[in-house]
Amino acid sequence: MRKLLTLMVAFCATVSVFAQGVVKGKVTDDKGAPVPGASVIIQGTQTGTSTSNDGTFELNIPSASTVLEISAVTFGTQTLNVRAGQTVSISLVNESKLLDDVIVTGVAGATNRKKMTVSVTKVGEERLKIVPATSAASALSGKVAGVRVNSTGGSPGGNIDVLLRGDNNLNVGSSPMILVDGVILNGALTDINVDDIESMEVVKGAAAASLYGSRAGNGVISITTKRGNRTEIGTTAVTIRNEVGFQNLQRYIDLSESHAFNLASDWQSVSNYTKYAGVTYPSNYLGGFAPGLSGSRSIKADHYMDNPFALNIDQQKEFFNTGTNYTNFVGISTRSKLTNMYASFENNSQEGIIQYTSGYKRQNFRLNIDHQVAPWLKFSASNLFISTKTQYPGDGGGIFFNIVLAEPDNNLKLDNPDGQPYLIRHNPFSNERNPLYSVWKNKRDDFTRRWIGNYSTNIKLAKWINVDLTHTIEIENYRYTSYAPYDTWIVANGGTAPTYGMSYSEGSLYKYSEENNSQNTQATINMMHKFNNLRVTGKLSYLFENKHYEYFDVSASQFSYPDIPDFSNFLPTNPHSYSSGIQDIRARNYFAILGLDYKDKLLFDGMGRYDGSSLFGSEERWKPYYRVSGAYRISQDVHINGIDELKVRAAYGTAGIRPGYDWQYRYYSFSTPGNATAEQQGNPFLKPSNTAELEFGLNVEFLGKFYFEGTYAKSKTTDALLEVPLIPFLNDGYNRQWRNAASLESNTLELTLGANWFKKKDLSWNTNIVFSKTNQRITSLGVPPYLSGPDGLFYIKAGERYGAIYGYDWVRTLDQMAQQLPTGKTISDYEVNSDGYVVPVGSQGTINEKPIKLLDANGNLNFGEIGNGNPDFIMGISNTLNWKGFQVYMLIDIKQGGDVYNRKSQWLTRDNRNGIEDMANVPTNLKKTLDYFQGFYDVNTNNRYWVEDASFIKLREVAIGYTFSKSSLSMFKGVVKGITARVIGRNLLTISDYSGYDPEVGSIRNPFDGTDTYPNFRNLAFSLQLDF
Amino acid sequence: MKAIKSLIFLSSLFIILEGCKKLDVGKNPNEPDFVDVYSSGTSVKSIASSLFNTWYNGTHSYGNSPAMFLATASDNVTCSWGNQAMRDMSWEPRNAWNNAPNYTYRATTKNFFDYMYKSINTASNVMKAINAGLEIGNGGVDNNQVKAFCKFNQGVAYGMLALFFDRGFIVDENITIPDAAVATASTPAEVAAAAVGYLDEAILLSNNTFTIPASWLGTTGDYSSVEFKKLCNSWAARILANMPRNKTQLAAVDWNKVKTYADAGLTSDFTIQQDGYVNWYAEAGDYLTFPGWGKVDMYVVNLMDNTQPQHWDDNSSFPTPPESTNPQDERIFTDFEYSSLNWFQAARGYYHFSNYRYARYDAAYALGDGPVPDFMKAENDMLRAEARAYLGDLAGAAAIINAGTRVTRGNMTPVAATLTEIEKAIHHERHVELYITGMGVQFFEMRKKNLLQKGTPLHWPLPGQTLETFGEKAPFYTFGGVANADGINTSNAGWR
Repeated sequence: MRKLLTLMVAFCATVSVFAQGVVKGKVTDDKGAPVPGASVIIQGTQTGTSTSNDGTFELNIPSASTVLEISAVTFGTQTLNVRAGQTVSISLVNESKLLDDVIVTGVAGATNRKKMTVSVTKVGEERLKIVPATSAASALSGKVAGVRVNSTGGSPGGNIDVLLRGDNNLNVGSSPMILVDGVILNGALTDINVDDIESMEVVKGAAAASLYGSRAGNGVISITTKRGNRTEIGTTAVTIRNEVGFQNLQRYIDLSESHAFNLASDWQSVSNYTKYAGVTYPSNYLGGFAPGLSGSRSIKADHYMDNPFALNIDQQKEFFNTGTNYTNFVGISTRSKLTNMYASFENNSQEGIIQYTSGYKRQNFRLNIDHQVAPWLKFSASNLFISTKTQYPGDGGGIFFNIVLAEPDNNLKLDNPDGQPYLIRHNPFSNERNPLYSVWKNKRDDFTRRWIGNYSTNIKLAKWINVDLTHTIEIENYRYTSYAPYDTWIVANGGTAPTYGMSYSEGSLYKYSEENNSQNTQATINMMHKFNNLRVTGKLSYLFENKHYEYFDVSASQFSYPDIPDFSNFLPTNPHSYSSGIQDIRARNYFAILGLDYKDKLLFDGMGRYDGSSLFGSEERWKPYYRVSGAYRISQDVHINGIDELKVRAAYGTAGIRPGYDWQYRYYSFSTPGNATAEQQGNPFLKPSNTAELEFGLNVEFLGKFYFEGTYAKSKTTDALLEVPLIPFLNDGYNRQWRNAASLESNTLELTLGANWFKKKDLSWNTNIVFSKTNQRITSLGVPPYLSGPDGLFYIKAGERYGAIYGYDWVRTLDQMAQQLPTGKTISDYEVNSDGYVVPVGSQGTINEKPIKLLDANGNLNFGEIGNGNPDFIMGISNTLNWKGFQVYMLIDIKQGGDVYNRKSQWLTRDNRNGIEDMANVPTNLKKTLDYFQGFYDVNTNNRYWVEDASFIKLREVAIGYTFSKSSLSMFKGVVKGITARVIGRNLLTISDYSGYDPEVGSIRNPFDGTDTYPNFRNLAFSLQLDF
Repeated sequence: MKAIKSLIFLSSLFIILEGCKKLDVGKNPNEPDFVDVYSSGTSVKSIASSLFNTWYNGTHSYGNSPAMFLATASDNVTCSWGNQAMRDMSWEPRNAWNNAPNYTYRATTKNFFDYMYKSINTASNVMKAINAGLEIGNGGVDNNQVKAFCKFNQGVAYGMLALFFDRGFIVDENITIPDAAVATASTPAEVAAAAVGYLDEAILLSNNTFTIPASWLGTTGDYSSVEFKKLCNSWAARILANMPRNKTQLAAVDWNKVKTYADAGLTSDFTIQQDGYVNWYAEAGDYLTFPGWGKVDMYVVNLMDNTQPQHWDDNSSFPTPPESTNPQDERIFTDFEYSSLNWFQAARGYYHFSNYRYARYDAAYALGDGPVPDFMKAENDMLRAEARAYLGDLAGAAAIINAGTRVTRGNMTPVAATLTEIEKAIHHERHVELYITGMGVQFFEMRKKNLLQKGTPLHWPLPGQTLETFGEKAPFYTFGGVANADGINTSNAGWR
């Protein structure tokens, strides 16, 4: 019955339409090629047809004239007024061309960048693919103003620190929120491969990121991956890229090649170790610890480190390897009338520079599909499956300290008593271990399996309204195993003389496993309508976030049988330990955004968001956010010679950062299995932090060649999350609590200058310069000032610059000394030494030459600012030159100012291994005793001597390539459409006065060079890309 | 219409997918809340069972306790490594304690302070719950067991605070001090008196019959209430006898009380059974003895063999002393190991050098799973002897010493019944027999005899970070350093 009714209605409709007339036409793309399957609908109805294979259509229209709406997958929609009987031709513009200039993150609807009212910078594929970064995390270095990217260490696959503008948090991380194809990422960005990326949009600051509310206080980076929509209909495009390269250290730490010990009178008769006076060596002694070795080394009378070692092994060069890296990438995109697909596979390996350690390996599988189910219904799916394996060197970061502490005559390749290589007691006069044994014997293998998916449906209800229903998934399984075999040598109590005082650990096994499962569901109503000269765009959206996390770990030691790394191989009475945890986090977020565009020149944007999260305290479950922004495109009204585009804009908005999972709770922690200890006072009033930002921007395009963008942003963070120390006996034994207890301010100036110097067929040259400068200050603190960061180097105090390094200082002028003369001394008892430090007069070159600590007005040690971790400015300059098939690209990254506390150098002085102490080639009148340097070492007290300017100029990326022209590929008969060969360099050259491996060390917030950091290395690679 | 139908369908699906999950995810599933801990007899018993482990970690771990620097400051152990302030507290001449909140080894006093109060406050809350009527076990059958254990823990935690800091704060289930301030803190004597008071309560409660499980104390076996009472008594004696900061205060000790407690004290060693670095690990002791780390201070080597130098002089020509062959104390052969190779840096002072290392607990420490005594019967014997000696019972004191480890293990000549010889003999046993047992045993011995090197702090200021939290202004007060030697807070005497 229903079918019959439908047929009748259809028949009547057909008759009535037929009576009015027919429109014929042809739909083509911008190159004139027919577009089959394009939808041709009478506007405001469901009536329509689709084009045939030759792009033609024929449609009955209900009246003498009407408006047709023509659209096709990967093309923009066009409308056309038609009359009955007319034959029309329609040229659709490929969406991908439109998209290049379109921003979609943080706005009411897709917006051309010229019409943006807030700061969002888009980095497209063209800029990302020249030197494909090893991961998405490092891809933005030097490319976007206001973005700081810092590799906290060189460990392959390791963490990359990203900061957008100022640091708005104290105890909480400042990483931006990351979106990959609309999926809010929880896992590491370092696992996302770059070859798949179509664009990255950087939403800087709280105002621009307001739409993301309580997750966006640190800004947002949105990554969009490739889809099949750029491929011509009915075709398939294949890209294969292979890269192979080498990784090695660019420079080494300067270590002392001399010592201050008394040498045995016959020391020159021995060549395989340094023979010291006062030490008795057993016969046939080869080096390292050996039974029969007795006595002690003694310091020679002058205390100068200028005695030679019997041999000078460059331990760092022996230890650090040249590793290899390779990438194999295949990408396939295809498109039919209604469906497009992009699939890719990436195999990536980064070995790193440590022997016996395979580093990081990653396999990424991607499948992105769009399917037009009906003219009004589109389904899209994005899938990324990631599998990684990371092998870390055994014994963690201690090896990086042990290798620089090893003395130049230490033979690291001696055998242990049982014949295992790398005698762990390689230096009998030190308790440091042989790092080669650690990397040879012990391993830690980490694995991740990760699935990131976005499944969306878009329903067009009418021309002006459509609905997106989206479900996103990120599931990550991460596990790792640490295994020390039964016969692992350790130095422990109980070792005997035949075993050199060492013993077997009897082995241990540790396993860790976790799963993160984030599933978000979102419904968005998108609206767009034009009322005469006013275009209105709007969104209403609801987002539900649901995250589940759990982990467990277990460890045991003392295997029953060797070489069986299995937990069944431990007796139940053996030492064992375990723990587990579970977290459920939910959030409901409602938001609305409205964009107004009057005559393409006056632009306004307003939004509100209301976030509820289980991470907020039970009494503060909901938090509102908002933004208002506007722009005026002056050049639309006023013509100025040479100015192609001139826009001013302003925005004010708020965003925040959520508390951590258990911060609201009062709890006892399990300090050891089964034993609970009072730990944290709860806080039901804990709120997310709130960052309010005001920004002004100026965008100018001029002389047809240049582009300039200047932005000034000022942000104010209140309710910053802070872990506050408590007096335990006043708080039931709890000694800490999370509170909204601080406020911070930052201001940032960002400048971008782009230039297209030449744009001719065979020659093009463009330059992009980005510059930014940020100041940040702590404005209030609800607790007494405290020291934060590694070794308490950074002073957190109201009114203080955020990033200030505090410690003690040294007297460097006689005026200073005059203010702190000890009783009975006059200023004539002091002089300024050859290094510029005040020392007792006549003491230079003697053991009495020691630096003097500066005192304050009260006669106490002067505890003050000794450094500033914030750079004066950062800058990136990139140039791309194309000449015929050749391409040269270079990105120079500059950091001016910004101190690093070089703790590693200080530690090296502890063991008199620091190169600054080497007096062998120093003129006699300038020699210093080791005591002088021990004065500065000062048992690792934080002091100015170890603060170094970490300014640098870095050749961050360089590529020299050649692309074969189509004509030169004629031998492939069209099968091979392109070949590009490139030599690629990453971090090839660093110019800096910094004395460590790399001035880019530590985190952005805490620039600190610790002893256990995997050094950053350079990478030179060859890449060959084939397009089919 | 079709689109609207589809929208309705998909929206319904969306709602189903999302479910009706509430925003509130409920309580923290990973760690117990205050309410979880104190709401039932079972959980109150569980939290009480953790008290001593918390205390133990605050007094015996590497990072949370002053144990390592107390050993070097007292010239019992020598170690030139900076770790945990071992070097900073054994400079010659001695330096002041660095009480800056950013001092590298600030956690040694800060965490110690916090751990003691974590144990104290939790014990007090357990007591409050029981006093409010909560029953532990059926019908409150375990009330006395838990109460006695709480009182013991309050006693030993306050005892350590009194022995170590120059001031403290007394809170318990009945006392709160919401207006606590640094200036109005209690004196060490007041804190010690409170500690002994809590132990008295534990002793009284131990007249009931109960068992303290081995897992509560970290011991090899369970402790009956009879044995537990002995432990409480010994602790009271340990606190009272070790409180003096100098000889003057030594003379004022109530030795009758010490005698009473010690006589009712341990009759066998109180020994921690380590479990392979999991819950019970005498970590500080491990670092103080293992190859490459702590060696035996020459002061102790000389006690065992007076032909050995008492001090390794700070010059490069000082000869490495040969192995002892005819010592007065034969424990040098059994408990100690000749180790002429010095792994310390000469540049840090030859005075850190030594020719012996301690080997008695090597087997226990090799894999961290053997027994290490924490309060030996020998220590209690010395408390009994010391009390008798200062009360004038020299013969009684000598008899205890001569029946003990001096003779049985050291094969030393019996001590004569004179005060000087008895003092020396007790001093000897504390350095030799009690090596690395109990936190600070040797330090307290040196302190009350005015033997700590000049400039050594006699007690420690409240931790800099704690003072900071109280709102005090830096620089924070501290003790130690030759220039500050006043005999009250900083040693102005010394054995050399």
